[in-house]
Amino acid sequence: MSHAAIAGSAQRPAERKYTGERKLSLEHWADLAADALADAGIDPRDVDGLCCAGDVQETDAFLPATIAEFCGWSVNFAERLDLGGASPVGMVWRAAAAIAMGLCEVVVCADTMRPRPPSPHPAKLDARMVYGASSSIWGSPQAEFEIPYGHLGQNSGYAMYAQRYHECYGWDERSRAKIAADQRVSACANPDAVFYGQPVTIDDVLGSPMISEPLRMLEIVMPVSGGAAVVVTTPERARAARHRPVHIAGFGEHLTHKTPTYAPDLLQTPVGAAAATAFAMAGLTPADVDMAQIYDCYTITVLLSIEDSGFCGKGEGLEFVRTHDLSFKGDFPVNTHGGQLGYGQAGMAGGMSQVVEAVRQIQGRSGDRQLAKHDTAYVTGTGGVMSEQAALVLVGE
Amino acid sequence: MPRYELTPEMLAELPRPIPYPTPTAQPFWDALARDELLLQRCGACGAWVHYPRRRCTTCMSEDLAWEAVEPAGTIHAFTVTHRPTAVVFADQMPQVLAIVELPNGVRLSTTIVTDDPAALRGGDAVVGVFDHADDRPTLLRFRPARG
Repeated sequence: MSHAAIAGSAQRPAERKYTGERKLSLEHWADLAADALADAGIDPRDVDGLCCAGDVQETDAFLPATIAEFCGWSVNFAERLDLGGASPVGMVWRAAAAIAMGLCEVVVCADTMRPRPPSPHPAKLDARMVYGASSSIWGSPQAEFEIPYGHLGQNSGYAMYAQRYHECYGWDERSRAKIAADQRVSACANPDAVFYGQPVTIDDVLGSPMISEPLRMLEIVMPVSGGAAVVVTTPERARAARHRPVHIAGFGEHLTHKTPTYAPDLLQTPVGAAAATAFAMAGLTPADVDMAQIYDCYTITVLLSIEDSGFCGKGEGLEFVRTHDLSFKGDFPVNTHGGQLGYGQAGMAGGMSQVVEAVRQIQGRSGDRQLAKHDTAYVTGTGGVMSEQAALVLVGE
Repeated sequence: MPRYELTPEMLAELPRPIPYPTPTAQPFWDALARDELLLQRCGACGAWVHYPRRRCTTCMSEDLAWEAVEPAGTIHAFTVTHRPTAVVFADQMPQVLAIVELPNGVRLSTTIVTDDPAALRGGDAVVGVFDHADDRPTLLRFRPARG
């Protein structure tokens, strides 16, 4: 039924303040790989592919080769993703495509965000620490046309999406806030979530400090330490693994812009094209999925993604949220681990948390928040400011 | 990204958040200094191009020419920030960040100059404000057209 499947996963509990042993990023990465392979029951000697992102702090370049060397692997496929929060979903489908083409059979995809031991060479101030995801390097369009006006980072960009959305489709802020409140219900059923034991109401969300109008603090992810990984392999190897194979039945990706100003249409987001490709490839429709694990850096990201992925019509997202329970107990389960809004965002591993949750739900391993119906999952990744988006359709064997 | 306390000394080492024009965009910045908005238009397909490039973003032709455009349009999207988007903008609070759309469809990243951000609505008409300063290129901000 597919050319590739996810056979194993690993995920670290979210922590505001890391309590474990400090290790190099490469060491954290290798730990995640080892745990995900053990979860699958696949011999590390069989690894012949890897996907990483820019979250390994020991090097700025030649990262895939460094990881292969560090882990002792000989690989036929090595990718470093640069799609921001869409990178984990991008890793999974690239691994699946490489496996489908016969390049490799066992691909480890991992993201880590845990602290390192203190370096003897303290980092100098890097402009990236101030200008974040917007390049301040001379000649970059962002340096010349965005940053001088204060357009940078993520909050204000997503806020403009939200403002535009509400201006076009109505100022129902309670429904937008409900996304965060519903997901918190699921976080409270997940002991690994940073907000475990801390439910919030819609009024709590609307009463939290305004950050960039109309977005408030509880609509924005909390940075945490953590990490996550999956093992993508052939359907045959997945069937021999320890848990239910999770087939990668469909995938898609779409990019249009870096800066919202230049998006072709702020309210037709790239995930629409990615979802259409993914569902068509899987031979399924949005109505067929049991759960949606939707990248949720902000509430507005979820709202736009629900709409543009086809779960409701354009402009119907607020009503959809108002009339569905998005928690794991609900009729339209979204981000059943709490989402990144409830679980925490461990850097790039935040996006992998959505993949891991889909895998664990399909495998029936989600504890108190396990869904009764858990065969098919839709997963998205979003990078930049609705800039780069990717989608997966995952189906249990 | 590691989190650091930024000292004034560290901040002084940063590139300032001002435009450092590229050769391709120099005519755009030179025009702003003269209170003029110049944008590129493709001679091959007629599409407008912004920010400045050497090739058309519709047909990739190199046949781009500068045309003067009225600096007036509407607010396409905006946000009022309650936390600065970067520490270097902490003295400009609240930031009223906006995407302004011109009648020709071109969208610009800018800010809205207003004493009353709460009165702003998407779709409001705005007109250009050429913000000159001695120590940086002129920036094109906008203000509400009414009053």
